[in-house]
Amino acid sequence: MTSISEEIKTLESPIDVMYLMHKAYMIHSNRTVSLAEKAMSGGSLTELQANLEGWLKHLLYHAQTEDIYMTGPLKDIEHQDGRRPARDNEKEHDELRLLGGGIADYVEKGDKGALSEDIAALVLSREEEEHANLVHKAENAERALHQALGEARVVDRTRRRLYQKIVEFQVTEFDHFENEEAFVLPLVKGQMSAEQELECSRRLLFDDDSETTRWIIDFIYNELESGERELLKQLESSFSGPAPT
Amino acid sequence: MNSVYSLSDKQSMICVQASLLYEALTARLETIYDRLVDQIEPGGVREFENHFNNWISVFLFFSDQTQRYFSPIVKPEQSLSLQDLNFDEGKTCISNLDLINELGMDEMTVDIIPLVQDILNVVADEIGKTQLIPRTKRHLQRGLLRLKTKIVDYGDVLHTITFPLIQTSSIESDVDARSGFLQDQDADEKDWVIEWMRESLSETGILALESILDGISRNN
Ligand SMILES: [Fe+2]
Ligand SMILES: [Fe+2]
Repeated sequence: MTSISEEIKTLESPIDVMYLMHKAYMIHSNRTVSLAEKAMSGGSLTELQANLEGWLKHLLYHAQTEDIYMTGPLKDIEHQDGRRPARDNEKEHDELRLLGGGIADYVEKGDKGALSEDIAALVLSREEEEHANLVHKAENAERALHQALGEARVVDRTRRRLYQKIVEFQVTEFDHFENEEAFVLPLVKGQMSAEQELECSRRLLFDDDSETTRWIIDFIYNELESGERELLKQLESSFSGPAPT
Repeated sequence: MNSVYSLSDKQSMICVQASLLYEALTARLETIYDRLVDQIEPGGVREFENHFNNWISVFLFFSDQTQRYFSPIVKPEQSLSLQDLNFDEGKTCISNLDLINELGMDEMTVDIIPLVQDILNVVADEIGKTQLIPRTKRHLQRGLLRLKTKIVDYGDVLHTITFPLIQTSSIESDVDARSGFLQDQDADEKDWVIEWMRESLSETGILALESILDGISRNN
């Protein structure tokens, strides 16, 4: 699997750009996790939020493009343990979308996020009561809990949980990268023609629907070491420019 | 040696002992987590499992003791529901007792045991392997983090809601002063938890522990 500490020295095939991309994303994830850790001891949320948004934006584009241009055209196989690489890959993307969306919602709730979450769980566990009544009382319970714990503890609790959510997201992401590299890339190499593979790689690196088509590839360049940037440059030179839409 | 906690303190002896045991549990969990993240666990999964199993034993003891000592105080005769809570429009008038019961916070094991089990499941999948592969490490880290978060949340409630409630109850009595909260009456080695705490607490924590044990033995 891609490792942050090891330099990628060759790309045997265009789809191997995945290793460079995953590495860049892993570096960014690690940075975001560090910011979330600092936020627990009073660090600013602004930089964390910006990093988190970037993480989600890239991962959403990456997953969507893979679903359409990578696993979409593949003929799936079934391993002895029941794993179906292409479909399982798409399911893992769905899980990432769900987790990522959950974090974005949580951040929007601000410093009371953890309490709101606790109270929402409480409401869900009490199905027998009339909903409106329950919500009203749960809000009172939230106020009481807030009062008992005090402002500082409420903020700490929210940030602790944000850190936990971000680490959980990272673990799911790294597991996914590992699975994709081990099970999907061999299928891509076995089934796609050289042109198809090149086009898939290009789509992963360039957003044809954006005014700034290079927002992905430029981000990847920024995260990599010089030797790896060279590999990416060579691959980029083999693209003939944006495909006609 | 000056006593950090003496019997003349207003603080409940049971709360002080529970608080120290809680402190030892969180400190040890932090150490297990740090060792895993920094990859200074030379024995791989087995080493991790040993430390974690010890931690679980103490945690279960802690959980049993809090149930035994705290439940009679924090559990009312009949269980309340949100319907029964005394709400006043516009202002909060939920007592600590109501809050604890409403949020189910006196039954911490209910929430925590599944998190412990998740970690044990990861370990079980790795039995026989001496090396911690990155994926296993990640999963253990995730499990421990969930556990840590839950326990710290619980500690907040313990210190800000449960303890004040116990201190205002009738437990500040002879029973409290002589309480052997940290002793395992069912074990051959009654002081095994105390020994474990001595290995886990900071220097200040150990001082407090020795002081309170001293106070209890003088009362018995
Ligand atoms: Fe990928
Ligand atoms: Fe993917």
